Order: sequence, then structure tokens, then C-alpha cells
Amino acid sequence: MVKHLMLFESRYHLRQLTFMIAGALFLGLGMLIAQGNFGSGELHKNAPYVISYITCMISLAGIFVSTLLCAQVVLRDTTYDMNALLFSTTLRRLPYFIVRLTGLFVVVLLVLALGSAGIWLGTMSADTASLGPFRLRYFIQPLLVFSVPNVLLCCSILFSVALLTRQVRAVYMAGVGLFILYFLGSILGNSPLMANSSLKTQENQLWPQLLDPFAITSFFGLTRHWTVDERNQQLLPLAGALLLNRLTWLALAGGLLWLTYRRFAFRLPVATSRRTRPTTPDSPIPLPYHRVSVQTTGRGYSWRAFASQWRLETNSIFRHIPFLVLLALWAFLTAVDLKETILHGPYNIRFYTASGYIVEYLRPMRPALLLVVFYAGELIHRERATRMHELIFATRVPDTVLWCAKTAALASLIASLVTVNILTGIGFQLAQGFHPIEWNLYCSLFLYSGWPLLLYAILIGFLQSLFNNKYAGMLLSLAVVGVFLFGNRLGLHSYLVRYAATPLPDYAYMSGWGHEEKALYYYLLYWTAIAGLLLLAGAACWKTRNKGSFRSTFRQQQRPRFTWKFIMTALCLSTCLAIAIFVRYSAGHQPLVREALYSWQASYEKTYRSRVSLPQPSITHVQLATDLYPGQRRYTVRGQYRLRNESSQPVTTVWLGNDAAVTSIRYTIPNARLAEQDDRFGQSIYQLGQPLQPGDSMTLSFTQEVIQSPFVPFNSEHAIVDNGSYVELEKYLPYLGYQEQYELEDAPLRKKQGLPPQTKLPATDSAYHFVTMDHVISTVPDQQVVSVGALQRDWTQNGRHYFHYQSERPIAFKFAFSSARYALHRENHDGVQLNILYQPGLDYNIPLIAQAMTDALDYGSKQWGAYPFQQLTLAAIPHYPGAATAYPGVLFSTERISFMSNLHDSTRFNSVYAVTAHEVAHQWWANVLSPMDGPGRAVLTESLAKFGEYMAVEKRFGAHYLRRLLQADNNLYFALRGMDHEQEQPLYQTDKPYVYYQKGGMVMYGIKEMLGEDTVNAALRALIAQHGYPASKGRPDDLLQLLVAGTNQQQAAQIQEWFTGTATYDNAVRAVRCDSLTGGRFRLTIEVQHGKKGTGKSAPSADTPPDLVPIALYAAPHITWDGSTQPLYRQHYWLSRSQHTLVIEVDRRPAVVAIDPLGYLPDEDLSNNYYLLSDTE
Amino acid sequence: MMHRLQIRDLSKRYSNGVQALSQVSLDISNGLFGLLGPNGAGKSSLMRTLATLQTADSGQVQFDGIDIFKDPYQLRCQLGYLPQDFGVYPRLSAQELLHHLAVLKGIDNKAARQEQVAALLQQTNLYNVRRQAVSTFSGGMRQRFGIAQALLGNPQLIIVDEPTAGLDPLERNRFHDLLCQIGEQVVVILSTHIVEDVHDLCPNMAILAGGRVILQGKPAVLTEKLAGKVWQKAIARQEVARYQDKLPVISTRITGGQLQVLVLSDSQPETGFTQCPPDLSAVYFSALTGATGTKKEVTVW
Repeated sequence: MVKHLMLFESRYHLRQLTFMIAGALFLGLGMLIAQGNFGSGELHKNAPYVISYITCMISLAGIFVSTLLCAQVVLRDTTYDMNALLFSTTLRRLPYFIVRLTGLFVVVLLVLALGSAGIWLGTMSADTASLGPFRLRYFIQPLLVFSVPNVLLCCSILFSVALLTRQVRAVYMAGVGLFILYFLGSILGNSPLMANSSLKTQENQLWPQLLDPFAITSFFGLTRHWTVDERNQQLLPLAGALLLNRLTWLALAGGLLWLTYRRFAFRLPVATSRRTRPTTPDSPIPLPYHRVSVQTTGRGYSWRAFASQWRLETNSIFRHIPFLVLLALWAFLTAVDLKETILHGPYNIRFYTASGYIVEYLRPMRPALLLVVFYAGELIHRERATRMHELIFATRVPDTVLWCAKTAALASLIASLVTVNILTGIGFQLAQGFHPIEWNLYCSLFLYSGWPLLLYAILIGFLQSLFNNKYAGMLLSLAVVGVFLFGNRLGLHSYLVRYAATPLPDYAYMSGWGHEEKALYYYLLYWTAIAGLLLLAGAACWKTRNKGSFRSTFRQQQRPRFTWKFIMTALCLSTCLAIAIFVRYSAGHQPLVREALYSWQASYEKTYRSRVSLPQPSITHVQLATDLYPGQRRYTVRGQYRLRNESSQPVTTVWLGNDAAVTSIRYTIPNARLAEQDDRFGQSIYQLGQPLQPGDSMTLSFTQEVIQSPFVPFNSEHAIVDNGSYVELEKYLPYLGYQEQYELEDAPLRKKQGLPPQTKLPATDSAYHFVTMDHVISTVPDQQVVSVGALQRDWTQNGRHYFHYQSERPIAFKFAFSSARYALHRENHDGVQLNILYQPGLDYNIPLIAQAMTDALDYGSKQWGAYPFQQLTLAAIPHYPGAATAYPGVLFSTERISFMSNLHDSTRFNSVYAVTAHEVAHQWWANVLSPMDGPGRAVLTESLAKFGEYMAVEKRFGAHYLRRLLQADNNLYFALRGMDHEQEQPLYQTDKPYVYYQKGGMVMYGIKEMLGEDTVNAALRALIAQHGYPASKGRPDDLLQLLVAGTNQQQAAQIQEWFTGTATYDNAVRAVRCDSLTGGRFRLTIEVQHGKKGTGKSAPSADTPPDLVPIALYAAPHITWDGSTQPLYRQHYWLSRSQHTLVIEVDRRPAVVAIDPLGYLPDEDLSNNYYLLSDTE
Repeated sequence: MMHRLQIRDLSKRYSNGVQALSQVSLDISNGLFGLLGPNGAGKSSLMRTLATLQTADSGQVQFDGIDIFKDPYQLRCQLGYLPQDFGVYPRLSAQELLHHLAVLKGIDNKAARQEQVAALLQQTNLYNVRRQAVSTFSGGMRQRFGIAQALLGNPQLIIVDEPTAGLDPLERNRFHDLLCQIGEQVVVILSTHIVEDVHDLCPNMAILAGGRVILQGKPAVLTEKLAGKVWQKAIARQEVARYQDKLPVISTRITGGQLQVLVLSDSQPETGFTQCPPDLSAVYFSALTGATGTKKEVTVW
């Protein structure tokens, strides 16, 4: 019997259209994801890590399959009124339960297995060089560890909901609920799939791992720090937290099933008439029936029919308890998400909960699409599903009216979700106590997130209208929505081909939604026109579906004429809009995307590399007149370069190039003729009438114009906006000679483009090519311009505001400027004028920023040499790829991080102070001293600026306060290294930010701990003396030599290793015993574990040099440490073995013993660096 | 009197090959028109076609001179339709649902709508349960709801498919009263396989079998035509086959536990047969046997 039932059940499942489509989709999904990029070329396409990763993701998508199949197959008896027949057979509870559950589980698992098969197929087509060995277990193990428990959990929950409620909708709600549960798990577990997560630095904690029902947190948490080799060879072992997670959720699933089995009703549902009011048999005066006249034409009729149908449909959505529960869950998710994002930025920054940022964060509402998919399926097939279609369709009501009513009901659903989001945001803002609630911003969510969702609803409705089977329609909708959502990764780059896609500009109080806002409206309008067509097409198809064959419908229907008009209008509208956009599109410079960019780069190299050694003059003086027109998104530059032949050969040609973002440019070179012009690469080569002899100079004039179309993606370094323009002008001015940075670097990509392996040009030019500069910039009257150089004067003339900047001394070729309506804070500090220009009103952090500026100025001036300028200006800009950037004498700092970080919570690290100090330090480490081009050059800028940042923080707040920053950098180093998927290069030749920022700073701090602050700073002073302007530029080796000079052998070896090695530490400490001695003294015996990774050896051995490691005792546990904490005992030890036992005597009872208490040695697990002593020990 | 509804050569074949209607032609005036036929005769197909819910392959239907295929909307605003089998949106009360349908039917005046809905609820004896969800109604109650909705608005053509299925005798009578009362001014097509209903209610009727109209006329006239031709005899069960071979048997039925065979014949076919007065069911069965081609052709008209 059971066998027969099982066979019947599986046959039934396998015959479902939904199953077939899902199987095909998952096979394709596996193949598609396997083509994706999971890291560098060193990571195999079929590495166990990659397979596990994809299997994890696919098992998530299994939620949808489970939901649809559960609704369709498990509830089939209810849907098709088979219950009465079924329950009157001899079928017993247990077989029924088991067969239905097993059928569902096996079929969903089968679909996921097809996904795995897809991965395998996908990797088959990959280049063999990018493949590792094929192992079946690499596919099976992740299926067993992730897919099986995940599917079992999903199926149990959905199956229970199905059996207990016997409602299709409740099953959908449970499906969406599961998805929300996953989101919660990801947010709490800091999954790298969530925005910002990589910059958050949390340790692997047990709770988030346990709380994630799909174990994705565990997967990413546990593999986060894996090296490429580990990822290529290891499977994630099912042990520890992962095992616990799997067991916990399996147990929960089992418990739920048991409960369900006990509770579910194995009989016909009793028709509960809850809504019946006790009917007092009111005996009305019997009314006679007569026919009444009807009015079935005109707008009034259509409108009334629409309204009535809309009301019914909307009620059917909202008068449903599971939906309300889901809304509550939604609000909860939003709140948690907001809290995590707004309150935990990089370095644990917390921002002011300003409406603009909240709205920006709330804007994308992708999970809402799931609800739209489910409800569209339900609403559109409702007449047939309830068998009411003949009653409805026999009335006069046009199908278009019904269709619009259904779409409007979906719009109401969307509006309710947006409203919940808005209320959550406002509630959150009120709870955080941050001032004005900006209603206009909140209301804009209806447009920014509601409208695209509505457009999607129309598309999904159209797709549903193509099917009689709503589940097939839902699956297709999910697939199509997925293609459009992730279209950018699939090669659909243009917003004109990605349905309802628009640019999503970030919010800033300075510039609002900024540059792309206008484009956003255009695209919305464009897609709205297309959605209008889809709406009509959907109505037409739906009508056909309701009436039988296409043929008969077309013969039968006499369409009202206005529909045709409407179609024509929408068609014209979208066409002309498309043209309009296209024109604007091609008018502006459009950055190339991926493949096109690669081939552009390769062609550039092929065309011009041969001329790399063509001698070119150097720029010695720059005179610029820039006119900025923010409203027109335009600026012009009239410029003049003084060129000097600094080579030893005569220069016969001047080879000029300009960035593609420049709209037009004209050069004037006296006594020269244009020999070659190449518009594709913006290259112009001039033949000089008279060769320029070594040491001679000449003048080059140019006029250029930049017009930024709003359809060009926003570039925060080249932003012309109404308020808060920021242009790194040097990047858009003409350049001379060959540009090596255009070359492709990735080896496989070079091969694909037919290029030989890259040979870097030897860095030979160690001379500073600093320039003097004279720059007049004009802008609109109410804005101020901040730029490099000393402001000579500003004046208003002809309705424009002019600023004249002049360099006080030769500076690097860097001329960024910003223009905005600024408020000014000014102070004078030891003869240096400090200016802070900020958005009026956002003045919370001004005193702190000023403090950081003066502290860092003092430190640099005292330790490294005089500050070279008369003024130091910090100006707010709306956006920047990082937090801030430094120019000679000017710092540009982003509004959100510097001015809107909430620093009231003193338990959080003050990153605004650190960022500001870092940028000030760049005044020396970039502007006074510049590195030579070559590997590791950023050590002399970023690592040293990081050191300056650490020192400023330590001086102001204390070493034990700095510990938070050091530990954050320590974690960040490992997190970013894990994401990089490439073998790490040692510090002195790295080009990876996580090495030269995080590790470089820690190394410098470690050297300072070893040699003392004065010794290190003396070396840095010597570096400036030897390699600062105008001497020759420095290299990382120069720094290394100066640091090593005068040290003993052990110290030298340690410094060498830190610069030239990639080892990390695995330190731990444990107290063995603590004895009370007479006189209140304590003797502590501690065991030190000193591990090292990445040395190629399993343990430190005799031939590895010892490491200098600090060991300290404290009277208070480490969680209570603050800036004023002092150790009871602190000593640096040279550790050479992996185990050491130390005996230390102190005169107070220690609470904690710590190895490397500040955490400047790169160590994946810092938690075992501390050992708490209990009072009894 | 002019025929308001004219059906000409209506044919419909479904995609699965079933010829549902074949050359159906009927002329129908105001009043109740009975459509009799066995299961699968094409009654529901004809009704759905008349309700413009499906199209025909060929043929024409005119209502009040308007081609209903060319202008289905014109028909739909004067149509009342009760399908054989229907469901309703869940969790909506009878009153809400009737109001909604009334709006869709185009009753724009709110007071008129309320009054008609109330009247229909009373006439169908649903007034006391008007706030109860229709989806929880029993079969008979739901059928009454179906009747009520078919009468909403200003129906000129009322098509009711098996309307009294599941109704108890009392409700059936109420419904018949209502139909007769309405039928004086409008066309009512009543599809059924209960011969008595047609006999009691319909001045005109047609019998449909295999998609064809095999008989049409006034029940009384048709019955009259069989006067003196219907013979019956009580026989044993094993004799049925023999009689069917030998005589034009139109039906067998059990009366008082006795198996009676009915035979159509101008004279006494055999000893033991007694003449019995013809009724409509004899007409029906004789038409069917004739149409379905038993061994002997029987001409009844």
C-alpha cells in the first residue's frame, strides 16, 4: 500500500509542470553560477569551496521550490475538492503523512541535485587551467551538509503549515517568512552577501551561527579566513558550530513535524462560519422582485466595477491573519536591518539616524517581489481557482477593468509594504532620538521603491496571463525577475534593457540624490510606458485564457477603440523616450563596461606600447582657469602647461592624451603640427617644428569642456552636482606619453585578449616632477570653491563667484576642487590657518575634527618636519569611494562618515578622529615625500599615514583605547585577505590595500613598540631628508634600510620578516597557577603558546628567528579597558619556541593575563590572547 | 409574436474532438423554454455559447436582432446566467457578493441595488443568512444564491442550467413560481433533465441529444401526438432484451416494484400490453430512442 502510494505520489510530483520548469531552471542556475567569478584565477572553478558556496546559495533558492510544490501538490486534495473522496478511503494518518512529506522532500532535493549537476556541467566548459581535480565528494558533501537539512527544514515548516491550515496562501506566507528568516540570519551573522558586512569586524560567534537556519553564516564565517589553497582543497568539516547548527535545526524540524502529526486534522475541515452573526430571523416585509434598469456603458460603470472588484481583491489580501503576521515580521526585519546598517558601519561607526540615510537604505525592496509573485499568481487565477469565472465573465464588465482592478490590488499590497517600511523608519528615527523627520524624503519611497515594484507587478501579471497553471507562472516570474534583478552581472548593463531598473543614487544632505536623479525619472517613465503596454497585453492574454482559444477570441472581440489609442500612445511614448535617452546617452561619455573595456585596454596597449620610450617633456608650471556651471552639469578649463625637457635627448613630438570623460578639447602648441589623432583613445601627437633641446621649455595651451549627461553613471571623483561638486581635476587634464595604468593586469584576461604576459616598465624615474600652479575657478554666486593652494582672493563678477588659488611652493600634480554652499569654521593654530567647510547644520563633529587636525599637525610637525603650507583646509563632499582623501594642504572628507557619524557613545571607537588624523598625516606621507612608482609604493603613503593615525590616537586617547582600532584592523586584514582569493604578497612589494593599510600600519606600530617611538620617527625624518622633495623619490626598501640601521640582529631579523614575509601569528596564553605571596604579592605561572602560520613550517623551529611579543598582566578584565588603563606588568619577550612557561611576580592580584594585549600582531583569533583569572586561582 | 432569440446552425467542436453542438437551430420567444437532454447532450455547451462565454465554430445567434458574437457586451448587459456548476470567492457574504455582482451588472443606483439585492435574498429565502460567507453554504443554499445572482439587474435573457438540482421540493416550487412570474416578459431558457419541470413550466421546449436538436415544440402538443400510441406491460427482468429486440421500446421503468416496459405502437403490439396515456417523459424517451438509433425507427411526428 505504502509502496503504491509512494509511487503514485512521486509520479504525481514528477508530472507537474512546476517540477519540470523548476528542474530546468535549477540546472541552468547551477551552470550559470558556476561560470561566475569567485575570486582570482588561483581559485579553481570547481574548488570544493566554490561548489559548497554555490550549493549553499542554491539551497536557499530551494525555499521557493518547496513553497510552490508544497502549495500545489500537498494541498491538491483541498484545491481540487478531493478531500471527501480521500478521507473516506481506508488511507490511514501515518502513511498519508509520511508519503506526502517524503514526496515533497525527495522532489525538492531532486531539484537541488539538478542544481549541483548544473554546477558540474558548468565547470566542464571552463578552461582546464582554471580547474582542479574532479572529486564526486566535493559535490555530495555540500549537498548532505547544506541541502538536505535545509530542504528538510523548509519542507517541514511548509508542510506543517499546509496540513494545519490547508490554505495555499498560508503556505506562501510561510515561504516568504522563511526567506525573511534567512535575511535575519544573514544580518545577525554578518554574511558577506549583505552590504557592508565585509567591513564589519566581528569574531565568529556561536549565536549568529546557530540562529541562521540555513547555516550560510557558518559557511562564510568558518571559511572567511581560508587561504586559496585551503579553498581549493578542503571541504568544510561537519563539526563544531556547524554540526550544532545542523542538529539544532533538524531537531526543530523533527519536533515541528511530530507536533503537526499529532495535531493535523485527518478529516474534512468543518465549515466554520465564524463570520456568521447570530441571525435574528428578522422578518422583513417581503420585497417583490423586479428587474431594475442597468447602465453598462460609460466611465461611471467602469469605475464602479473597478472599485468594487478592487475592494474585493484588496480585502482578500489584507483580511488574512498570516499576511498581517508577515507584515509584522517584515517591519521587524526592516528594523533589525536598519539597526545593523545604520549603527554598525565600517569600524563600528554609527551614523546619525537621519531620514535621508534611512530612506536610501529602505529604498531597495527586493524581498517584496516575492510577495508580488505569489499574490499575482493568486489574484490572477482567482476566478478559475474558485470556479466563479462563469458568473463574473457573463457580466458586461470588460476584462480590462477586472485586470486593472487586480493590478490595483497588487499596487495596494505594494503601498502597504512601503508604508510599513516608512513607519518602521520613522519609528526607528524616533527611538534613536534624532531630529527632524523629513516627510518628503519618506514619501519619496512610494516613488523610488513603490513604483518600480508596481512595474514589476505588471510584468509578473503579464507573465501569469500566459499560463493556465499559476505555479508555472510563478516559477517563470521568479526566473524572469531574477534575470532582470541580476541582469547587470549577466551582461544587461543598460537601464534600457533591464526591466524597471534605474540608477540608485546615494543620498547626501549636500547634493540630495544628486547627479543621476534626473536619469532615474527618465528611466522610470520609460519603463512605465512599457509597463502600460504590458498591462494591456496582460489583459488581452488573460481574456483569451478565460475564453478558450486565441483564434476564437480574435474573431469574436470587437475592441473598443480607446484601447487602440492607448496602445498607440504608450508605444509612441516609449519609442520617443527611448530615442531621447539614446541621444542623451550617446551625447555624453559612457564608461565602457567589462568586455568592451578589456578590449579597449588591450588595443591601447597594442597600439601605443611600442612608443613607450618616446621622450616627452615634463610639466613644470600649470595655469588654469576653470568655470563650473553646476546647474548645467558642465565645466570648462582654459589651461596652459609650461613644459620642460628634463631628459637628455631632444624632444621632437609632444604626445598628448585626454580622459574619455572630457567632451571636447583643443590644443594650441606654437610652431607644431598635428601628426596623428586617435579619437578612440583620445590621443594627439604633435610634431614640433623645432626639437625641444634638453633643459629647454615650451608652452602648451588647451581649452577643454566637460558636459556630464545624467545618463552617465555617477563618478564620485568627477561629480558635478547642484551643490557639492567634486572634481579631481588632474585626472581629466591632458597628460603626456604612454599610460601604463591602462594596461590589463589579469593574466587570463591578457591571454584572452591575445596579449603576452605583462612586463612592468622598470621604474627608473625617481625625480619629483612637482609643479607650480595658478588656478582661477569660478562658480555660481552662492557657492564657495575649495581647492589646492593658498586662496589669494575671491570676488564676484558678472554674476559669478571667482576664487584665485596659487601654490605656495611646488606641489604634486594634484588639483582637486569642490564647490558647494559651505559654512565655515576657522581657527588659527601656531600660524597655520585651519578651515573646516561643511554643510550648514551638520556641525556635530566640527570640534572633534578640528581637534584631530591640530593634534595630527602637531605630531607631524614635531616628529617629521615642518608642515609645508600656511593653511590646512578640510572640506565636506557628498560622496567618495573611501572616507576622505588628502591633497596638498586640503582634505576632502565625506559628509556621512566625517560629519554624520554619531560620536556620543564613548564606548565606540572614534573613527572620525582617526580618519582625519590619517589624512593630515598624508601631508607628509604623499606630499612632502612621494614614493617612486613600483611595487609596494603605498607603504610610504598609506602605511605611514596609518602609523601617524595610530600615534595621534594613542597620544590623545591612550594606548588601550587605540587597541580597538588595532584589533579592528587586525580583523579587517584577515577578512579582506579572505575575500581577495589571491596569494598575499609581502608588505614591501604589495599592491593590495588590506596589506599596505591594515598590515602596514600594524607593522609600523610593532616596530615602534620594539624600537621606541623616537627611533622610528628619527628614521622617518631621515627618510624625508633623503627622499623628500626635491631629492629623489623614496622606495619601501629605503624605509626598511633606515629602520633596520642601528638595530641588533634579532630586531633586524624581526623587521625584515615583517616587511618581506607573510607570516601571521597564532598566539595564546593561559595561567597555570597563581600563588599569593607574603606582602600582598602574587606569583603567576603562565603558559604561552606561540604559533606562526604561513612560514611554510608547521611550528616555529630553531632556524626561524624569534618574535618579539608583549606579555602583560592587568588588574581589570579586558572588556573594561579604556584609554586610561595601565598594565600591572608589561614586558616584551623574544619567543622562539611554540611553548613557553613564564613566572611573573606582581604586587596586585591580576585579573587577566594577555599576550599582545593591544593586538598589533596579525592574529586570526585574538580572543585567546586573553586569559581571565578567576578569584579562586 | 416575434422570436427574440434566433439560433441558426450553431456548431461547436472542442479541441479534444468532441462535437458538442451540431447545426443547432432554435427560435425562442418570451417565456420559459425547456431544454431537455441526457448528460453530454450539449446542453451546457449551448448555454455557455448563448452566455457568450465561449464561441461557436459556425452559426449565428441573434438576440433582439443583434448578433451576440459580434457584440457580446450588448447581450451581457441583459443576461442572467446560472451555470451548472460554480464556486465563489471565499470569505465573502451573500450580501457582499450580490452587491459586487450587481455593480458588475451595471446597477448604478445604489438604492436600486440595495432594494433588488434585498428582494432577491428574500425571494430565494437567503435573507436570514445574508451575512454568512457563501463558500460555507450548503449545496441547496448555494444554488439559491446562484439563482439570485442570475436575476440581478435587468435580465432579458435568463439562462439557467440545472437550476433546481439539489433543491428541496419547497424551494423548487418557490423557484418555479419566481421563474414563471419573470418569464412573462423575458426569455428564460431552462436546461434540465427533469422532465416534470419542463412539463410544469415551459410552454416551449426542445430536446437535445448528441449535439443536435432532435425534437422541439410545445410539450402539450408533443404529448398529444403520442395519444393512443403508448403501450405498457409488466414484464420479468430477463425479458427486457427480448422486447427490445422485437418492439420499439421507449423505456422501462419500475412502478410499485414491477418492471414496466413502454412501447410505442399504433396498435396493441402484443397481448398483455395496455394502452397508457402519454406524458412528456414518453415524448422524451421516444425522441431519444429514435435519435440514438435503436433497431427500429420510430416516427413520432
